[in-house]
Amino acid sequence: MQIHQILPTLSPGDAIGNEVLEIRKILRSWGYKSDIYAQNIHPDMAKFAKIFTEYKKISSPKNILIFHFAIGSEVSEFVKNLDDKKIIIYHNITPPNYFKGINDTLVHLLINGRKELKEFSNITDLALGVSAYNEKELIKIGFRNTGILPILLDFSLYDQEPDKKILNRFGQDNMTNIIFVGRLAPHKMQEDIIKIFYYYNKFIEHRSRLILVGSYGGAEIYYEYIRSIIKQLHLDNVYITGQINFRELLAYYGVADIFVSMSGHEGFCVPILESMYFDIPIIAYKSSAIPYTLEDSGILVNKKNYIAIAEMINMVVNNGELKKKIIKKQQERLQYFHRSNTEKSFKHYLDSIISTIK
Amino acid sequence: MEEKVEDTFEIKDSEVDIKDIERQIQDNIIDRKKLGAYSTDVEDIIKRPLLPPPDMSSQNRTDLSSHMKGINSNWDIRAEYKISSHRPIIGRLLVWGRKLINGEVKRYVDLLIGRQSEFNKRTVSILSDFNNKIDDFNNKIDDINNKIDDINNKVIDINIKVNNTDSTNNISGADKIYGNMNYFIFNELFGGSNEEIRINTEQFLDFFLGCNNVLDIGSGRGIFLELLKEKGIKGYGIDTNDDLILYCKRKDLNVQKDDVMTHLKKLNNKSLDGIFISHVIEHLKYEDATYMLKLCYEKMQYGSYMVIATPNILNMTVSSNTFYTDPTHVAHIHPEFIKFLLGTYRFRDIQERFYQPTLKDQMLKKVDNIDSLNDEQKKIYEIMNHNIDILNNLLFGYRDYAIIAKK
Repeated sequence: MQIHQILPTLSPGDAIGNEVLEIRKILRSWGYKSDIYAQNIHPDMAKFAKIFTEYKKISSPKNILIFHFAIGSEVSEFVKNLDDKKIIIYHNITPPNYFKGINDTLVHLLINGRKELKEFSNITDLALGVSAYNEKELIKIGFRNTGILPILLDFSLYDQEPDKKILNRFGQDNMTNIIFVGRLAPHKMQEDIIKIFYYYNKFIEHRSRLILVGSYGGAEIYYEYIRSIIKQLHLDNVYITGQINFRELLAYYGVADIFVSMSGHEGFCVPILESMYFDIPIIAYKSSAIPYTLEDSGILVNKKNYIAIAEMINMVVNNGELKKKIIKKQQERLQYFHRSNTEKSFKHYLDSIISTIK
Repeated sequence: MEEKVEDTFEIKDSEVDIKDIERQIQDNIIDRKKLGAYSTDVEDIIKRPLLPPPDMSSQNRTDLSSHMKGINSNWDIRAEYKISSHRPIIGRLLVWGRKLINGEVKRYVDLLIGRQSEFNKRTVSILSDFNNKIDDFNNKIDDINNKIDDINNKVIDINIKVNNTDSTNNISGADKIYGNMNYFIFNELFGGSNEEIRINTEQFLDFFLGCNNVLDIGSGRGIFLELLKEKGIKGYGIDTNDDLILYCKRKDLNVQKDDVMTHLKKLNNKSLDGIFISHVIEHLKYEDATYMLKLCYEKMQYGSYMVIATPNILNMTVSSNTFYTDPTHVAHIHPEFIKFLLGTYRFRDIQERFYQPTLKDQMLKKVDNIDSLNDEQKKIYEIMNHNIDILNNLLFGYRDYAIIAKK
């Protein structure tokens, strides 16, 4: 028996791509033959994956195929017609309306994604959401055998040397660094963080900066909007990093005093786990999967009261006791996502499907 | 902005009193306001939402045609039904009674219902006419838009033709480009050896793995096409030089004689899954280059890559000397400009790659073995070596660069 993975796009530095590599590592360590198949393979990832149509050659009812689902693609139609045992790992589909007028191709793919996912509800042996929120969606769509498998992260990678240039640039001047990590996109609502920062920077702590870490590829219209709002609010200390490498990412976490998310839609939100790992207190808007990922840690925001959130940032940054308590809770929550726990659940789910193969 | 802080936050920690924190925040806001904070002249910007809320989208608006279908099949409210009963014995009596009542009521109701149905019929007929007219108008608007597109394309063609008659520097007019020069021999002598080009081109192959329809614009000696073929990637080239085309055909490579604009325009949108443009863009005028890249975007499939290679004008030896070896070169193209342009065309993951370093022995030499010198001499030589590094980079840096972009 072989256990392989298939997905529409494999690119470096992206949460799904990282997880796919981790799962392959685990499956191989358990002795399974395991490869990755994808439709779009970023050149840097070419050595890790094969073109998805190649899978046809080894497809068998005795194989398990793990399909990572987050967007519509030709891969769906391809997988649908295979006789392999199928496990879907659902990373969530962003509601298409967020991208109307920003990226119409993406709107089309997201709409198709929802239709395609529904078609899998009767032909999938097991559907796993990366969060309780995602599992709920799967159940609503009509999947019967469902479960939760949080994203697998290899935190040993995070112990690399961070980029020195960034540490020197942003970490030496005692300014308060507020960060958000995630690609610039309408559903991540970076404009709300900017508005909060406006109040914080103008009226509470002038010696502060906001760093929005993430690429803006595919959402250039939104990027222009964000730039215009920064200009209209006369903010000098907002930095949009664009695409960065992993060591640069580590450096941004290294200089951060607080992580603020106002995102309206997240399937899991890996940066929250990363902030937990780097002991950065988290303030996040209570939407989609955020309450699941934070559980009883961090600070959840129920309503976007910009001034109150700016004051809360000030309180967390300057009140050592409060900050310590928040970080302690976050460390406890991070234990839940410990690799060994997630690996155990994965094994349990996998065994349940293996036992059905004759 | 006078929003209450209460219930804004949740902290699920028994050691933290969130109510108390919210009270403190409320007090802080009041104190700061007393000192003049939070009054702002940009409140309208703060309050303005970015985009319409998701449920305002057209996706959720009820479809006009489904409304029309509904009223077309429901306008007639006159009802005819058979009076019957399933009861075997008293059924007859029931039927008789119902018929009697129905007859009495029907006499008055039919008049009203008949009039209402007549009114409905006319209203539906008017609405259907309007709906058909809207469809007609929409079709006409589409026709007009198509015609405008055609006219725009024709204007562009005319501009290109006018430019060709004015200038000898346009790829569209092959004969005009090369004049009386044998470009094939020139390219052999000054365009680098096949082996050298092959080594430099190989690095871009990864962007085209698994592709089925890659276009090599300005395929020249067909080295990129050969590499594609070796990797089993399907692709073809276009060029305007007869000698180069013949050369490629002898190597059994798929090459067509066509100029880039004409060729791109006749392709279906989203028909290419990769484009390679090596040492072409510097032969084009600004307006042609930008138009070509725009067309490339339209013809590419989502997720496919384009690679544009050109002389690195950041290297001053290139920009002030070797660039002019080829008289058909038209413009210095700065990498930042291409990146900006591709961004505006909505290309994603735009990256640059510098390659073809100048040979070491052609660069300014640094002073070696300075360790044996005394501190003062060492310091002078260190400064000198540092300056040589800067100059070498400026004068003898990489000779080519490529911009890689994803649709």
